[in-house]
Amino acid sequence: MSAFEAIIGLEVHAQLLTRTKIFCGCAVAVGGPPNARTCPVCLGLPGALPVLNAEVVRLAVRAGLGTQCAIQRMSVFARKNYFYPDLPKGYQITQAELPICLDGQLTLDDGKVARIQRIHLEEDAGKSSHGDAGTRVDLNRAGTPLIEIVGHPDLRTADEAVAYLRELRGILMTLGVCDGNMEEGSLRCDANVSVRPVGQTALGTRVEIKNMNSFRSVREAIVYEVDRQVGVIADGERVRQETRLWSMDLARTESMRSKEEAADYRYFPDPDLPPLQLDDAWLDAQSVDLPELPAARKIRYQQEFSLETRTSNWLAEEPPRADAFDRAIADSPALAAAFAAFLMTQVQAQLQRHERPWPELAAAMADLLRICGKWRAGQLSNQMLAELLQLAFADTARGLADALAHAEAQAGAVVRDDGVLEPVVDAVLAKFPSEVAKYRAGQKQLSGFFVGQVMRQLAGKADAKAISALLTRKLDA
Amino acid sequence: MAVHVDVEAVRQVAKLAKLSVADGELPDLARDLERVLALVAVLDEIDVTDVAPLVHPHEQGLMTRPDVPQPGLSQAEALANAPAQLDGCFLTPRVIG
Amino acid sequence: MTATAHVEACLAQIAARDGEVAAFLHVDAAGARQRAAWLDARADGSAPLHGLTIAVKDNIAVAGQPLTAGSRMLAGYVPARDATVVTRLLAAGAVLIGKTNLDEFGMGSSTELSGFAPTRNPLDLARVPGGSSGGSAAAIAADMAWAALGTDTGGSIRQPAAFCGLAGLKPTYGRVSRSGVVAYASSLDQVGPLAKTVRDVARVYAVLAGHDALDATSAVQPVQPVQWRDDLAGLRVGVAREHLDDAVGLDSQIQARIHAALDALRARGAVLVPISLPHTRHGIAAYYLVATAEASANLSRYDGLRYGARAPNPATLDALYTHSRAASLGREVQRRILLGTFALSAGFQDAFYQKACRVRRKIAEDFQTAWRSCDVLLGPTSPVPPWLLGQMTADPLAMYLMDAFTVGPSLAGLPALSVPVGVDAQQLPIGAQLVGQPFQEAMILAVGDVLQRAFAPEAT
Repeated sequence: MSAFEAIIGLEVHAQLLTRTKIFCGCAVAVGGPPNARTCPVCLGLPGALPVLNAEVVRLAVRAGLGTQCAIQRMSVFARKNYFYPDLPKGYQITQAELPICLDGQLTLDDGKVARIQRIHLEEDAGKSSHGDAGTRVDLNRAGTPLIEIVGHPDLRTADEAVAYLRELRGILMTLGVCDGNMEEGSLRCDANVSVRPVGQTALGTRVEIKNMNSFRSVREAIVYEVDRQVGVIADGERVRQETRLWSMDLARTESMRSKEEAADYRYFPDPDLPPLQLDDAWLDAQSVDLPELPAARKIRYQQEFSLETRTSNWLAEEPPRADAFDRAIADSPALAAAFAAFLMTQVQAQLQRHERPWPELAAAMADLLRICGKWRAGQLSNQMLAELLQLAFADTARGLADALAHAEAQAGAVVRDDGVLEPVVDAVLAKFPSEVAKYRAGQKQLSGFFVGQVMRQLAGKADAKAISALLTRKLDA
Repeated sequence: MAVHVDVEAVRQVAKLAKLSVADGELPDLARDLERVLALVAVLDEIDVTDVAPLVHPHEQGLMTRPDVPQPGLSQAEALANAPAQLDGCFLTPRVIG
Repeated sequence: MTATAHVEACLAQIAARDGEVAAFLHVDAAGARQRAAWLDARADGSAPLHGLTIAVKDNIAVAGQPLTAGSRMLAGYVPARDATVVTRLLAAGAVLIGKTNLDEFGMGSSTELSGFAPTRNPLDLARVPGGSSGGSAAAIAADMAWAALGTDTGGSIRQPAAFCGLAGLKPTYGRVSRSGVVAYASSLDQVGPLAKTVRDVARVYAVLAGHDALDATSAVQPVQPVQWRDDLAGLRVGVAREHLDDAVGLDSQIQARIHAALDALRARGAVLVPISLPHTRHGIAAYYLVATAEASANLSRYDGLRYGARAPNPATLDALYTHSRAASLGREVQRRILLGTFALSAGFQDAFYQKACRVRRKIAEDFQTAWRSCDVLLGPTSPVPPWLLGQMTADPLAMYLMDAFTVGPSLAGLPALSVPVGVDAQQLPIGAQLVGQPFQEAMILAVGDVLQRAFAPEAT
């Protein structure tokens, strides 16, 4: 069988960080009682008219500037007609033929360029929940402002798709366009996936995958779907054009609806909304105060702090984390590389074990930096550090900053006084005479063994450097 | 463009428009639609290939509003005219699928 | 006269005549009396419409009162908020007397296509009052209200004004807010006043006009005050041959009357300028495609879900939609939804909806060409006098053709005023349509006033 390649393009919906909905003054928020954040406009009551939120325009333009799009001086809202319980007007207001941004691109970490076809504005639908009594409709979410970022099918692997999504998410978050929360649905990703034999130029039949609400599910769904399609072709059958839902539980995509009977959405310009026109002076002002984007930040971390690529990428891809990092190390840049590595390894491990909310971590950044500093200075041993972090992150009764300070006090000081260390070192050397002999015969690597034995006697609360110095003095004497 | 409208075409359009039409009414509706389309065929007399569509009568651009919350309706007001409701939600027959 | 006395007089007329006329779908007698009493007791009388009764077409929301748009689909629906035009009327001291009948969702030219009952012309009960604002026109003609709000999509204020011997103004598109007005065709709909005289129309118009932040199509231009005049020296009045001497199916008495009106204007100093509106005959086609396409989307919200009529015990969601809509929307409304859906559908949109929008530009350009040589246009409002009830209902297409002169200004978004210019041999009223340049309502109102007084000197 010949080799296949996958052709992948992502469609990403990002909820804009506005106070109010796209076409009415209802507050945008999560939770609360159903149908309590609505008005005649988002309920689709007779006579209600949409009026565009200016902030929505500003944020969409920022997204376009951050992805190197051409911002359109004129864009048009259209009606996309279909009936569904959570679509109050029987049409969705979206931008069809003339979107606000066209022709952008993202550069992935490996240097690959992935093109963006368009970014358009649209309103979100409400929420339907299906139960025995029927389908319940809550319209609190109806009219929430979204941008849809439509990528070209330039991606070839699941890893590239994830890298694209990470890059895009980082940009949107840095620009304050979207909070990037995939679990809560403020960032949603659909993937169009097809496969073709390597060397063939014509595209294979495209399948749309929905319901991927984490980076992991994006990766796994695409890997699964590519395998599935290759399998279908290997079996001598044809891939059907359809929409499939990713099921994390079943670890597979499942057919949702066939596109054979294609919907006829009857798009036409919304007569209630004249064309959106942007003037040059306003647009110029928008380009002025763009913050440093993740790609630039990664390079800065590498150049300024000599961070490893892996560390700089990890740090920069989560903009709030990078912002907090930047604030913390502003006064002690010499510690930046060590602190970044410390965050990526020890702190990240604790975070994965104990779910602490992000704002807590951001608030505790200065404490983490202080602890990292003490560790690097030998005032905390590796084991003391590990115990301290474990204690603090598990201490959900306190805020993380408090918990760290508390655990720090508990950990006490590291033992580095020769008066305390010397009897222990002597006892260890006495216990392992043959190792001492081997060391003296040239097996200097046994030094680590002796340090470990001493450390063990002192329950880990000793300064490894002080032990090492003492050992050297005694063994090399 | 003179268009022949058959019963199947009316059925299709009615489906899009979510109007249930009894089979017996289809021929009448098809005839009505065909007559209107014959009436509008007069538009074919005009060459409009280079004419831009006019959708909004005046050339005024879109006005926007500031991103400031405004008082909306209470849950009770939102549901006041609902034919069926449950737990603060509008209620419909269960959507299949 | 106190507000209370005026309200009582109107309520007495309603009690005496509305049984046969059926102008109102809802009369708010208690609310009107209460407000009149409050105005008499508390107000200083300086508000521009102090104590005057106004009937409101029932596709315009008045908080707490039923809003049906003439459709059984909305029977029992009560809005929580006033339309912007209603807020403005109340702020100007008006008394709202009730909600008037209309062709369902404004789709008709006779008010026979109301989902509830046809309205009759108070001047001749065998005849229609015109439509779709027929209830509003009939209410004024029968002295049941001093003035009324109508809505006009393709002639729905002007034609009933003509049929009931009234003045009626469709303002420039965007001049009056549509917020709270049940949409028929959003790029054509405008709210406007009807009253017995042009001066009264102007008085209500001055209150209605102006920018509204709740309507994104609302115009920001300042509203010009009307300069009333007696002579028209230097005024260039365009006369389109397609609307008069070359018009197809124009009633000869109406034609003669419009010539008389032109003579009257000339006698007061106006210059008559022959012009051409070459795409007049394409207006109806373009209008019906644009209006029904927009309507097909505008009426999708009537799905029996959040409000409005729902078919009993629907088994599935699809049954809920299709049965609720088919059972509660009238036949003409369904016909127009089907036409509009077809005109937008894949494979046909270019040939129908798109084409109509392109022709719409040609029609707008016809008027722009006309404005190079004239200030206003004058012609008949309707090609025929008010017809007998039932005469047209068998053939919806025949009724579409009755809008031949009114749809052009609607497509071009222009202000247009119907002015009563006398009656025919059967004493049926005849209206002349004055069309103005964008936002030149003040001009057509001033000319209309001169014209009305030329035929009825007491109308001031």
